[in-house]
Amino acid sequence: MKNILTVAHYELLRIIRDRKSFILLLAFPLLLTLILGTALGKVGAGQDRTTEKLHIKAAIIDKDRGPMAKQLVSFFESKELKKIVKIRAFSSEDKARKALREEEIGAVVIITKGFSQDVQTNQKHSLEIIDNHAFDGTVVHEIVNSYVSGVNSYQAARTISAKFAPSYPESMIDNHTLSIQGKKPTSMDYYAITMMIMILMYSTVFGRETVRQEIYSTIGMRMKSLPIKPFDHFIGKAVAGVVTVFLQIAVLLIVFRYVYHVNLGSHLPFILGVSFLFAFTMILIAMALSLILNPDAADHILDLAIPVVTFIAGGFFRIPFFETNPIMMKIQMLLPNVLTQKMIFQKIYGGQTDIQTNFIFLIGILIFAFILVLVGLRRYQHGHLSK
Amino acid sequence: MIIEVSNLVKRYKDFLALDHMTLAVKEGEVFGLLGPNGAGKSTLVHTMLGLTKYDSGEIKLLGKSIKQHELEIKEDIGLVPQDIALYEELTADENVTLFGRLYGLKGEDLKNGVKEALEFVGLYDMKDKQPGKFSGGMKRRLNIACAIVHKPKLIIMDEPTVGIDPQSRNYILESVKKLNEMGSTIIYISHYMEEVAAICTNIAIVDKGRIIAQGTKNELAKLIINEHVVVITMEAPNYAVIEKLKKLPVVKEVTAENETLRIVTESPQMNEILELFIQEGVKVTNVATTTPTLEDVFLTLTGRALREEA
Repeated sequence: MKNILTVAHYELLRIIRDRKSFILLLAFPLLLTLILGTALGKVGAGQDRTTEKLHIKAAIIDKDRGPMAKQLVSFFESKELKKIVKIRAFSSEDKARKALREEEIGAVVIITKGFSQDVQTNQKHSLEIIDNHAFDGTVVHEIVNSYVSGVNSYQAARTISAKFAPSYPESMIDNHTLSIQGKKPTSMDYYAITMMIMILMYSTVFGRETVRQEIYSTIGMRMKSLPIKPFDHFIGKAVAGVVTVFLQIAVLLIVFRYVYHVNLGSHLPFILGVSFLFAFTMILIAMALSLILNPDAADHILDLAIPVVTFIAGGFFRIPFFETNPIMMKIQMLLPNVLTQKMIFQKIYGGQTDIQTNFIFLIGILIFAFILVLVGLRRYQHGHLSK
Repeated sequence: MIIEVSNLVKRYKDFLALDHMTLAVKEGEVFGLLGPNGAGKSTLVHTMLGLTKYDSGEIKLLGKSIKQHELEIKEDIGLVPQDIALYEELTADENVTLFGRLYGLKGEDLKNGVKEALEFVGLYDMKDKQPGKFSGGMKRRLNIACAIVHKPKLIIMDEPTVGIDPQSRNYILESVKKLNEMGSTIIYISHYMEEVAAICTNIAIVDKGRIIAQGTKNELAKLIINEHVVVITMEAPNYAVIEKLKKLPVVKEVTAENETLRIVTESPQMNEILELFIQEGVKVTNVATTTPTLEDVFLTLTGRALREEA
């Protein structure tokens, strides 16, 4: 442990002293975010959240035809919600589903038979919502939840008022309001996160350079002559890399929030923590590739892979196909950048992403990369590295 | 014995870098490993320190097997690598401190070790400067300081004077002697025979992965005691006379550098040689005889000069 800390301490000093590179590390993502946030603002990330006009398209299939179903439809058509959702009429459920598949609408709400009766008799009843697993679907879910919550409150109030006068007014559901402030990212919000994720991926440079310097250079030969284990040495270097990235993220987030006014919600510790984990994973992946292949091969692979996986994650612009196609969704679960990005967006804006599952997958990738590093170090100790 | 190497074999695919090498170094020696580039000197050192794996043989350092006690042995060894191995972003003091810590020093021992190492190489006044601002000689000295901070029992110096000015070279050679007087055993690797001859108490000549001769400077010179070296300077280069000289029975070796010929003979008599010059009508401007050097020993044993490419 002492050796790990010693190596990390001096490596950190070296990184910080290399001012030109250190400043570039910070300036590059800020500049990139500014350019993408302003120039590509209309590509699909979102509109200005202050307009509050989202024009999400959805369909309601009323199989119940009862009073509570009509009330839900009128809730969707209320003045406040008209700014957010436009309800399109379909003659059948199949046609609505087809429109969803063809991305004409973002969600279909199916009010199943018996809904009104169950609500009025205080029974449980499930509504069916089919959505596009994107932001539109999330908003429709939120609206339905809001309605259900209002109905539940009303039922509770009615039960109480039956026992204790005075009674509550029947119109209370229609007065229920739904705020969308901060629920949809602006272009700057979106690119701040996606570019941060891409920059975090470039922390692989620490992993690659560690292997290049410690194995293939003179200083590496000298280090190998010291009474320390290669594992201590490599982990020390990785720790220094992660701490540097951590500082970089902290500065980025401060600038994002206070200069670019990016919406980061109230989850800074979560964003920092997940980013830290992600950066560590990326450094280990780069180390593993550099050890098992060689640093030059790792350079070629990672320099090509980083923009590609950023594209797959919708980092440059959102690609709805990737968010709905089952095969792409499975591939995305294996990409640490997608997992991290989804977790951060979910935390800030809400939605249906399962943070726990993504977190478990990210940890799994980290453990796998760590095992590969151990295998690579074993090969290094036995002199089997390729030059 | 501080170093015992027996039957060491190291192959790089088809190239035999160490060919059943056997070597023994006593404690307290300044042991010179002399040989041309590519002879196997650095491979031997890297193998001894566990930096490179070997195919067969046995290595014992400080009385222990390197395979079983690698980390323990390394605590008592200081390696001065052939190329400068320093962190340019760290100051001289930080470089030496880093290596001191990794050698296991701490507290006052570390502080004193760093100060003494920097003073020893004459860089204490420059301790807060980064090596990027140092001259080649100063970097070489700092390179040494990083290897001696923990006062090792065995110091291995791999070509420590390559590419530096004569003043820095002398400083380093004097330092080697001092380190030896302070109790360290030194392995000094070089292809500069003057350096090895000047400071080493025992010398091994390495060629093609083998030790071809070992002993003190005088013992090695005795290997070619029956040989004599004549240096003849001609008015102008003449390659015909060189070919004829090589055919004389008394001549063992002729090397030419412009108009100067270096002739190794079996006899101190020069009549036959000088007669050839007269017969050929070649004007001689100078004739001198010299005593055999390590260069001559190497030349005699291998048929090649030390600084030729292997």
